[in-house]
Amino acid sequence: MSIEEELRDSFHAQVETAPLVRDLADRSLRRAAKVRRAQAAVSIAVVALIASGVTLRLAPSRNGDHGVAETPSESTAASSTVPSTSTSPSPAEPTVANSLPPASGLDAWPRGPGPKVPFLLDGRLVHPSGGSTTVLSELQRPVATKERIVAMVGPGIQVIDAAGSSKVVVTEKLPILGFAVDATRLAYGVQVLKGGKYTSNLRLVDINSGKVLQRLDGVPQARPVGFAGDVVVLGVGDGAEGSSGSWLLATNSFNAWPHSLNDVPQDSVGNVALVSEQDASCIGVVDVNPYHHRFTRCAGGESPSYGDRFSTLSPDGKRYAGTRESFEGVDPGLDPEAWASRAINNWPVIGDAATGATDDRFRSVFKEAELRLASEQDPDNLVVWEDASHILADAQDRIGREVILRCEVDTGACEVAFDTATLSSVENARLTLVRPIR
Amino acid sequence: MAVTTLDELRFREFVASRQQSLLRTAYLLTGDWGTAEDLVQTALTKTYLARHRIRDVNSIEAYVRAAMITTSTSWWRRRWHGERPTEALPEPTPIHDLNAEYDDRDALWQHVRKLPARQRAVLVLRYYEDLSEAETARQLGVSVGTVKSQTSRSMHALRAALGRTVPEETRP
Repeated sequence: MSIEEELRDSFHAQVETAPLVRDLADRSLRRAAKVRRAQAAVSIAVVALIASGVTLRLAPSRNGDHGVAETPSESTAASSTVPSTSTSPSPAEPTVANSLPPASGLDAWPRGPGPKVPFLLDGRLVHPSGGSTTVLSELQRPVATKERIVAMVGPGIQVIDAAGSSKVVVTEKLPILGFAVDATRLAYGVQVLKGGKYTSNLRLVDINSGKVLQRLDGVPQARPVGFAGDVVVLGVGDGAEGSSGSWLLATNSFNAWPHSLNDVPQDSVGNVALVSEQDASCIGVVDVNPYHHRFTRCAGGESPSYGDRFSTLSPDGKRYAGTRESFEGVDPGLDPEAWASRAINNWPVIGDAATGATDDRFRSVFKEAELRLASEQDPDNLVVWEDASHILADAQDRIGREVILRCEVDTGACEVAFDTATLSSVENARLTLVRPIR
Repeated sequence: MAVTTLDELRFREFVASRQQSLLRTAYLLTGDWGTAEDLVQTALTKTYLARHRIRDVNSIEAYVRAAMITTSTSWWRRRWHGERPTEALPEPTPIHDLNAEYDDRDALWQHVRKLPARQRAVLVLRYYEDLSEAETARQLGVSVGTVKSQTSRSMHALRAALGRTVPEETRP
């Protein structure tokens, strides 16, 4: 039997026991209605701003760029009655012209120093110095400092140092639900089945010695997401439904956060945490201690034209970053030309943690350079913060050349921080950016 | 003559008749029934929101399937990436014995699940949906050459993972 035939058999065998699900129509319609309400709210806000004399540019610019600092949902574009200023850039237009390459590709881009944090490339750990060591590629949720990567490997949590050697720091014989690290500490949660009910045990560990510093047992299923001072931010839930909570280390207590059921934390830094709905249609920022939900920004996550995937906060907690993906070209008639337009369909996007306003300046950078984020990677890690002013983006050009770009958030200027072509022995290189530990 | 509008009633009828089929494809794309259900629901939501742009209601399934693939290859699900709890507790193992964790008898499927999302989508379309290379390319919005290279790369990876360094076709 050929492997193709084996694949067919395997696929059909896997779906033989498909569970019967309840009717998805109701839930889809409810979610669609929610998105439309959010889009309508955005439209009303825009009209109100216009009425108050604020000048906004809603129509696409010459680059198809949306200059308004809000989600460019289909409804806002459709409902706009603002005259287009499409032939001239607005004052807010990013000053990136000098950094843009000619159409010939990435060779003409400015070169900068390598990333300040190590990253993974086809099972290698590439250091800021440019050297590399071989590690296993099956690392789950890797996070990095200048000297090491911490990741889940199989049932444990390991630290891989700059020389490539690994040390197991957690070997608990229970399923690990997730972990978070800061410079010296590691918090993780394990699943416990007791009396027919799943709960979690939380552990705080010294990352260098592996010594357990603190423990809290019997809390709802919890996944540490990050540290915010002496608070461990938690995702809570069973994998299908989720909410948020915190482990207050000072009092060794668990606290559930009282916002909507599906909001789950994505990242935390300082005293704030980034939370989003499970389906990413809304995103908000929480002041961790005392709990306060500062804002919720909706629409866009489920827009048929755009989707935002915010996942990480800047080191100063003032901004967050993620990926904006265009669904333009997902044509119902599957018109090949329309599909071809999807070739460049995603780019980094930045959000303001105080207001929720989005900055879409990298759309024009990526569009003009014919770049896209390498979406075959873990989309969480396509854009990470190198420091409070710069993001690193795993980008690909039209011919599949893959680089790490460093982009200055305030100006939109980008440079090549690492080119996979510099490692000649790597074929079909696949980068995995890792989240820096703060 | 094509029906030109997708109203709520037709949408409900479509979902009732096709959701199990969509769910099976979604499972092959995601490797998890819960995530598959979320994926189908998300694709259905996007489709309903875009209903005014769907020229022919008979093409709704193609639209939903396209939305599923687009979403699955870009979807982030940090919450449970690789961290799904299991009732069977694996013993701690050294790095090089990672594969020993898998207790599923279908080794090939386990290796398919480790492929990048786009490559997995190509295999699902080619060998589960039985689409041609051209149809697969249209569904994914890439060139036929990309489909060929992705298929080749996936097959190479699967053969290597299964310890079959020589392609089947060239074996005696």
